[in-house]
Amino acid sequence: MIQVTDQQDTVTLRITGRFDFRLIKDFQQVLVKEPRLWVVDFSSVEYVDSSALGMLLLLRERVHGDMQRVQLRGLQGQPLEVLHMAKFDHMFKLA
Amino acid sequence: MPFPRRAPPGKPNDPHRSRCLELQCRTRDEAEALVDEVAALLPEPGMCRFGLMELLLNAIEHGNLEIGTSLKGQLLREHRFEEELVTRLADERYRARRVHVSVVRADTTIEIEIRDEGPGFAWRNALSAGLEISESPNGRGIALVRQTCFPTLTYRDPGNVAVVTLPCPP
Repeated sequence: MIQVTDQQDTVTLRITGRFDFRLIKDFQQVLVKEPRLWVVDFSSVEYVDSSALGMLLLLRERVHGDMQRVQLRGLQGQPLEVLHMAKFDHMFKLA
Repeated sequence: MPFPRRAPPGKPNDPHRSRCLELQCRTRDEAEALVDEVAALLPEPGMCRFGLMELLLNAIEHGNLEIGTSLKGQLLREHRFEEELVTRLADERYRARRVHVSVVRADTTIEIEIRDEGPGFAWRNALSAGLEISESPNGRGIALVRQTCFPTLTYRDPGNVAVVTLPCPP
């Protein structure tokens, strides 16, 4: 599930449970927004699959690769392990 | 869940391969239920679930539905991937295809075989590719699976059968 908060030029995506292929449609619907800063809150994410990585990279494309405009927060456990393995720490700001 | 005592086809008298589970799926929802069932039998259910799901999604999307890696990337960028999946699952060329999963327990190993009904792919290239920094929204599943949970992952020609062997204490 994705909970979206849009305030003060920041869109926060709070994802709960599994961040996987089931969220592709919801995630893409949010991508039409144009905030200055995107925050993806992983503190309640227990599992990611490679579709989640794809969604994050589509978000990165949305901000033209500007690492200052996307923050991934609250990573732990399997999501952190998978993102590190995929070298996402080179492409995203992990807060 | 206990490992079912059922002999695999063609090997009824082999005591070392005496416990077998055979399942199949067609859609991602069915794959998820299948993976939950199989992962519960494996040594590290959490990471095994990740690996199995990646392999099953590959078998459905790239194998049975023949959506190539570059086409998937394009569809994801154009927000048309989900729609294309639904279309192909209903297409008479693909809709009867299944993914077949067998799990065989021997004395000290568990072998998982995932077979799709597609034409296969250039699996040797895929297995030799490492996890590089890549901005592509797809195409890293196999490398991730090998590095995080199934280092023994290999394929059988023509590339429509993925095989994973896991150690399992007797």
